[in-house]
Amino acid sequence: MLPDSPVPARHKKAGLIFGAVTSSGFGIITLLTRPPTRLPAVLVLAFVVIANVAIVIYAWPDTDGFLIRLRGGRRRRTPEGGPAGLGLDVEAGPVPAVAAGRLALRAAAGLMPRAAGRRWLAEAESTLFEMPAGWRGRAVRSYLRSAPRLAVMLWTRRLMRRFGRRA
Amino acid sequence: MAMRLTVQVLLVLQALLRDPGRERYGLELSDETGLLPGTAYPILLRLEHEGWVTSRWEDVDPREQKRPARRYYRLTADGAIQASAAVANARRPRGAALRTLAGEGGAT
Repeated sequence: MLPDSPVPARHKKAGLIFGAVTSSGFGIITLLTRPPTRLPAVLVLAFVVIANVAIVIYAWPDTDGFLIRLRGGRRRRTPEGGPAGLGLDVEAGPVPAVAAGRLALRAAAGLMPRAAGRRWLAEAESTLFEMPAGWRGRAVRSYLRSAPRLAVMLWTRRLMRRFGRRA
Repeated sequence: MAMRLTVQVLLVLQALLRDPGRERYGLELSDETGLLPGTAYPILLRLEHEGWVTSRWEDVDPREQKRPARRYYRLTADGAIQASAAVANARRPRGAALRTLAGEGGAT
């Protein structure tokens, strides 16, 4: 019923590392050679942070939470990128928290206004907790995919409210 | 602001309309609609912002229940009326489609 990601997890993992290293490298080099590029430091840092957050949100849930296992062939593959990836016995029932992807969920919640982000995270964790183990990885990915748009929607709403009140 | 009624929004509304007085939590709605929870959540939030849906945290002790509290959603009285109208309207053939069909019928 639920389609698999068209990009293999290994490729995403490699892409994640490459993207993070490239954007961070670009930031460091730009900061070191600031006079010729004349880019403000804040702008460079903002780019690096946004690029890394975007990369992590996109690719983290498919990496089972471990960046260093690029050659994942020797490890037993699991159908989900969820808690099983951390060695938790998901078949035994709900786990105390959705371990894999939790960091990414937290990062995504940080993009939203504080109260809304907390509510989103709490609801995501509550839903994932009760979800059958095999569905968790896909559910985490669905939360992460919708997070940027949700953040835009929530910030827009908040700004509109603020400006509406002042007007 | 008017609600944009996509297929996913209509699926959520249909699920909520099955028993408008009953509260449902995210996973339940995902099961009923076939939508992933990450897709259903923004829809529910938009419906809540528009006043069609109201939500609350379940009042339980997570340690006693051995699970986190659920967020329950329910249609408001106004939301139930608007949702019924929206779902009924979506089931009706589109005006443009009818005109096209009428035009095709006249041409033959």
